[in-house]
This record gives sequence, C-alpha cells and structure tokens, in this order.
Amino acid sequence: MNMVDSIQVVLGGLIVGCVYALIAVGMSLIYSVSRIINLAQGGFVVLAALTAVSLQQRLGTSPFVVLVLVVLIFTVGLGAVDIVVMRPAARRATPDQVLLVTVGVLQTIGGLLLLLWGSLPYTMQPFTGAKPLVIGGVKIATQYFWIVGALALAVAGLWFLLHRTGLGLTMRATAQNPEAARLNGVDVDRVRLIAFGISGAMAALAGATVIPMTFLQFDTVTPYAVTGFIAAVIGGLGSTAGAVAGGLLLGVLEGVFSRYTSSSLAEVAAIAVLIILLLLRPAGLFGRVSEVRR
Amino acid sequence: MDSRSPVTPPEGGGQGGSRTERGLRPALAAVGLVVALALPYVLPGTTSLLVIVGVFFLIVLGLNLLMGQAGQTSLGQTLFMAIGGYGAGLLALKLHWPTALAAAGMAVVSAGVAAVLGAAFLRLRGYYLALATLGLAVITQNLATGLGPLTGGPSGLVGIPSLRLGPIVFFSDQANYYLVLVVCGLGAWFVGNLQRGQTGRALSAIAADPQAAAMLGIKPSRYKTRAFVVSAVFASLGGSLYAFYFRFISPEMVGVTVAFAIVIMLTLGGARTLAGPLIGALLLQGLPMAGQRVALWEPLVAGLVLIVIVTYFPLGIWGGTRALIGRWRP
Amino acid sequence: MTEPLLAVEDLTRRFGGLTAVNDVSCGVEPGTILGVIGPNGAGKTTLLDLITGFTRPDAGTVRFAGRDIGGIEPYRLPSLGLMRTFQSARLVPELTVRENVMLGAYRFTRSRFLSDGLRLPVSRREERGLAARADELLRFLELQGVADRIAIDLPAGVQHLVEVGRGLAGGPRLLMLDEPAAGLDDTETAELGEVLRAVRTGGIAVVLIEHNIDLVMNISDRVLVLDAGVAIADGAPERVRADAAVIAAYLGEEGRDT
Ligand SMILES: Nc1ncnc2c1ncn2[C@@H]1O[C@H](COP(=O)(O)OP(=O)(O)O)[C@@H](O)[C@H]1O
Ligand SMILES: [Mg+2]
Repeated sequence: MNMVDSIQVVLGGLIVGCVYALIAVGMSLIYSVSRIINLAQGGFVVLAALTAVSLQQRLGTSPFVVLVLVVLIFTVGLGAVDIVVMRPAARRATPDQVLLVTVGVLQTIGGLLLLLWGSLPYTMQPFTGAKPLVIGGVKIATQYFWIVGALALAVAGLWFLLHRTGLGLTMRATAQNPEAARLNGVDVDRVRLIAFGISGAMAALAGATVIPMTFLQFDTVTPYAVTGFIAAVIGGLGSTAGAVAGGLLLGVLEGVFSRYTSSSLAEVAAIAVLIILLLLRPAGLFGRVSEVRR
Repeated sequence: MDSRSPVTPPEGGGQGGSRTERGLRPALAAVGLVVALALPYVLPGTTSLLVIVGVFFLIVLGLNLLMGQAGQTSLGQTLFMAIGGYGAGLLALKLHWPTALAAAGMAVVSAGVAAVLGAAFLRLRGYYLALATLGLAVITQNLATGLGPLTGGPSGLVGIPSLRLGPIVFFSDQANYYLVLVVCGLGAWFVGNLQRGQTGRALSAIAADPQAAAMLGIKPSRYKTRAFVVSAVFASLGGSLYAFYFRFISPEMVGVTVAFAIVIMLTLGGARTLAGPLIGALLLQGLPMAGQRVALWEPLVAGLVLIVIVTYFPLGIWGGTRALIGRWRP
Repeated sequence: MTEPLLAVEDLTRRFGGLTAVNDVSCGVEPGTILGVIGPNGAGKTTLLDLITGFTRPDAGTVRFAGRDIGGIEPYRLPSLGLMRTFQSARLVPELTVRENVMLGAYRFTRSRFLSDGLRLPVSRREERGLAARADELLRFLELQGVADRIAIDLPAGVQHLVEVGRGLAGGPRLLMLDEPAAGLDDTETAELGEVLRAVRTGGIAVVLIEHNIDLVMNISDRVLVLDAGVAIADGAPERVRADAAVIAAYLGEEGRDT
C-alpha cells in the first residue's frame, strides 16, 4: 500500500471516527452527571441522519437549514426522552435495569426507523458539492470538513459551557459526585435533562453531517450504538477528551482493519478490545479508576 | 472439623411453597399438557410458529436461571445459540456426525465456553456485565457473517440435515413441534425443580445480597458461573433445534436483535417463573406472525414494551399478575 | 494448650482519618456469651466485619478454632462453624421465613444444580430434612406461626429473629449477632434472652452486640465495651457495670438520654 493509499484509508477511518467520537462524547456527558449509560445514543445518530434526509427532500432547503433544524429537533427530542423515559426509570430501577431501558430505547428507534423509512438504505447530497479537494494525490471530500467541523464545534461548545459558565460549574460538580451534588441542593434532574439535550444536539450534528458520506438504515443503529459505547469506554467514561480520542482511534483502526479483512471481522476486533478493556482496565485508557468489579 | 449431625433425617414436617399453589401446580401442568398436545390439530396453521416459540421458550428458560434467579444480566445468549446452531449444523453437514450427537456435543462445548467466560465476566458489576455480554452478541453476529468459508457468510449455512433419532427423522412441522415440546417440558421441569430447591434459594440469595449469601456458606462466583453454564446449555440446545428444524442458519438468526429479543421475552413475561418465559416467547415471536403490518410494528412495540415493563412492572406480565392475585388472596 | 474458640488480637481498622477499631483484643470461650456494647459508631459492627472477612484489618489477627482466619473469604466461615446476623436483617426478600431458615443450613446440603434440577433422591431427602430442621428451629424461636410468610413482609424485629434462626440452622460453634433485639418489645426481648441462654446451654458460643444494656448484662458471661474504636472495658458484667470509664463514656449518657 503506497503513501497516498495509506492516507486515504486513515482519512476514511477518521470520518467514522468523528461520528463515534460524537456518540461517545454524548454518552460520556450523560454518564458523568447521572451514571446512566445511554446505549441508545448511537441510535439517535441514525435517526437524525434519516430525519435530515427527509427534511431535505420535503423542504428542499439548503443543507445548513436542515442541519440547524435537525439539531433543534434532537436537542428538544432527547430532552423529552429524558423526561418521559429516563427520569421515571432512574427513580425506580436499578442501574442494570436502567441499561435495559436504554436498550429498549435503542430498539424503539430501530423500530421507528423500520416503520417510517422502511428497510432501504438512505443517503443525501453533500452539503457543498460532490467535487473533492485533491491535495498531493489524496482526495478529500468537502463533506469531510463539515464532519470534522461538527466535532470541533461540539467539543469547543461543550468545553465553553463546562468551564466558562455557572451552569457548567454545577454540571462539573454533579459529575464529581451526583449523590453529593443532590444532597447539596443541585437539581440533578435538570442537569441530566440538559446533558440529554446536549447529547441530542451532538447526535444530530453527527447524523446530519455523516449521512452524505455513507448509507444508513434501521439496522445500523446497533453497530453505531455499540461502537460509540466502546469509544466512550476506551476513553474512560466521563472524559470528553478521552471520548474523542477513543472514537477517532476506533474509527482509524476500523478503517485499517477493514482494508485487510472484512468489516465484520474488524468489528469483532474492536469489541474484543472492549471486553479485554472492561476486564483488565475498566477505567479506560485515559480515565480515572471507577468501581466496575464487585 | 465439625462433627455435628448434618441435616436431621426426614420425618414429615414442612413443605415449600404455599398450599394453594402446590395444589394448583399439577392441575395447571396437566391442562397445559393437554392443550399443548392438541394444538397442532386445533390450530394446524400455527405449528411452524409454535416450534419457534418453543425454541425461544427453551432459551429464555435458561436465561431465567441466570438473570431472573441469580440476577446477572446477559445480553449475549446468542453466542451459545450460534455455537449450538452453527456447530451442530457443521458437524452434521460436513463431518456427517449423527445429528443428536452433534447437538449434545455442542451443548458440552457451550458449557465449556460459558465456564471460561463466566469466570472472567461475572466479576463485572451490574451493567458492565450486561455490556460485556452485549459485546459477545455483536461478536457472534459478526463472526457468523465474517467467517464466510466456514459459516456461509451473510447468506447463511444451507443444507443442514433434519434431526434424526434412531429411525425417526424430524422433518415435518408436527414432528418438530412434538420434539420441541418434549425438550421444553424437560427443560421447564429441570428449571422448576432448581428454582424450588436449595440451589434456587442459593441463587436468589446471591441476587439479593452476595455478601449475606456468602455468610451462609454460598460461594457467589461459583453459583453465578454455573447458572451461566446452564443458561448456555439451554441456548445451545435451542440453537441446534432451530438449525435442524429450518435445515439452515444465518447470522440474522443469531443477531444482536435476537439477543435483545431474548432478554425482552424474559422481562416481558416475568422472570423467576415458568409461565413468564412462555408468555414472553409467545408474544414476541407470535405477534409478528399475525400479519405483515404487525410484523412491521413489532420492533417498535417490543422496544416500547421493554421500557414500560422494566420501569413500571419489573415483575413482568405473569409475575405481576401473580403478585396481584397473591395480594387479593386472604 | 487452651486457646479460646475465637481469639482477636490487636485488631485495627482505619477508614481514612477515622480509626473505627483501634487495637482491640478479645476472646470467646465455647458455650459462653460475649456481650459487646458501646455507643453508635463505636466500631462494633466493624469488629464483626473484620472477624468475618468483610473488611480487611490494617493490623491484628483473628483466630477461630485454633486457625488464623484473617483475610479468609467469608463463604468458608460457616463450614468452620461461624455464623453471623446483620444489624439490618439481610434475608432473601422473596423467600418465606421457612425457606430463609432452610437456606441457613446450606453448608449441610450436598445437592447442587444437577441433583436439584433432576430431583434426584439425595435432593428430595435433603429437602425434607431441611424443612423439618427449619420447622424445629422456628418452633424453638416461636416463629412457627409465620413460617409461610414472605420474610421481608414481617416487622424488622421478627426479621432479626428469623436471622437468628438462619444462623442456628448452620449448626454454628460461634454465632455472632448484630443488635438482634432492635425492634423487639420488652417481652420479646426477654424471650430472646431465654433463647440465647438455651443456645449457650447447647454449647454454642455467642457474640452479642446490643444496645439493650439490661439484656446484655443479664445473659453475658463477659462484656466488652467499645468507645470510639477503643476497648475501654472487658470483663464480667458486674465489674463492667461498676467501671468508672464505662459509666462516663456510655452508661451515664445512656441513663441521661432515657
Ligand atoms: N465502610 C466504611 N467507610 C467509612 N467509614 C466507616 C465504614 N464503616 C464504618 N465506618 C465508620 O466507622 C465507625 C464505626 O462504625 P460501626 O462499626 O458501624 O459502629 P457501630 O456498629 O458500633 O455503631 C463509624 O464512625 C462509621 O462511620
Ligand atoms: Mg453497628
């Protein structure tokens, strides 16, 4: 494999990596303020992507309007999911039951996709034309910059929120120790609601920017959900930087692996990594030590 | 060492379970058996569906022991379905093993795999165990797809022979139905016995409070691993029956969606009971067969139902009903 | 050479800056009752946890029946003859009182997954034996009336008694009870005292953590007083009752409160 090919493969991996990173950052945020693992996060990305496709077809407006609309819809939508589904579950159920609830949400998303969009794969026109940039023989689709931009925007926005606002301070305090924060009068429910809203925006950013580069349908929800989760675990649940690194790393590895073997076997390798990590280093490559084992 | 007399000898005394329930149980079982035997004649069109319901009933029964009784969530039962299905299918197809022997052999293999995995996995806490086993489910589907030369890849393994026991070949829907009925009956009997015996009590103790259980002399890790092994054997046998019935097995049949469905069946019907898994399997496998439109709605409804049941009715349909009846009884 | 059944030496356990158990030594002879008293937070439960391997000591040794049981895995203790109850009863929620007591005799049963699942004769025989033994113990504790009730539906006091029954079902040489009289009224407490005397007569040693001073003083052969992790007195009940340090630290305050 020559140089140009190699770069091409890595770039391809980074695209998926950005999506995994966005999923992982959202999961990680929710986990840190509520200790809930929202397995459905990856499902929302696919739902957002197909919503973007349909909006684009119906409204015929520019992709940017569509992007903004989808972000709004999913911010509000995940807030609603939190209030309607997660809040009662978190009150009544044990942590592994709450995980089952998020499995239920994932399943519901898959079901909704099947019902509303059928079983065919969908894609969309790139935001800024199909003509790629060529730099030194390496072809870079312009959509690529949108995806990377979405990730950068999300991370920068989250950083600003967490470190430059009063709300962010409360959120960080909650992340330190949700129970202690609750006892100190923090409205933990509200913090989680906001975290869900933000994770919805991230899912929307990921879905709407990646769909022009790929095909998605109802049964892609599970791979996204699972791989996004692996990225979050690799990064150490609760760490934004870790989640981004984990996502990009997984994307690249997957790109490289699938070049040599099938993509199924690449995923097997990724998950084997997850399981070994859970067993050996539950706090992730970058994370703090947490209580995973009995 | 201690030389105090062990458990004092028999001579009457107490009995487990409430009296009403003990009186009802044989009657219910008898009625159930008559209905089950008659079903293929009463509703001839549904025999094929009932075979599948039976297969999943068997798998959920095994999970019931691990998840319901011992409180360990496994989203990865499809791994053992695949070992049983692909393994027995390949042994019969490629190496011409007798089908029953192939199924039994793969059940042993599944038990071994579960023993090894269990020792490592069951140390993980609550949802980390669920997530690691979810990993197993994804690996299973991808291996079935990716190991094309062995498994036939995405299009599956075709040409698996029917199950044969001596002179009987289980080819028709009806033959398979009665076969599955017998296996499920035995499985339910086994799990029911376990649940009512000292082992069932020990598993409940571990689920409720591992430390307190240990203080009674119960080693939690050993019990959890064994429950995992039993659940693996049930799933493996289910997978073998599935493959021999369809004479075919594909990655979709052991996919992640199926892994979720198995857990949903248990949660929906109600863990720690025998009727719960049956109700769950009937609803989840039966509904899609009711028609094209229903089949389209099924994944959505299954997801919503899982959310509602786990949040509001953690005992499931059957468990909840029993609790209600129990409350009304004087 | 005679060593007590339970010999605790210089046991220390710290939680961060707090020393919950500070250099405590004590012993229990077969067929005697050791009462352990002390204000809340004195380290009584932590002492039991250290003996039963629930927490690791920072220093000190625990010997039981001539054997070092420091760092032992708890599940091995019943077969050595050591059983305990918990301050807040930890019964199996969905089982009946009888079933909970049957589980107490776990260490005597040989039937496991296969024999139970296949209902082999060994399993059926043991099951009958377990039920009979449980009923015997429930009669002894005068709990036969609630044998078929779901354990956790009962009042906390009764649950403690069931835990005592569960402990006895294990045929212990030493039974350690963490505040078993909590939630019992005076008559029931007196009955518990009788039960424990009968247990002692049967040759079983008892460690009794209790807030009810009268109960402890009445039935103990020896009393250990803990205060802020330190053993401030250890001896015969009369001597301890008269001890100035104990009065100052504990009995006096208790007297003022109530
Ligand atoms: N796991 C623990 N972590 C931190 N502190 C503990 C822990 N267990 C007990 N403690 C502290 O140790 C002290 C003794 O507790 P405990 O043994 O429960 O007292 P007692 O049973 O005499 O009321 C208390 O101050 C308690 O807060
Ligand atoms: Mg205490």
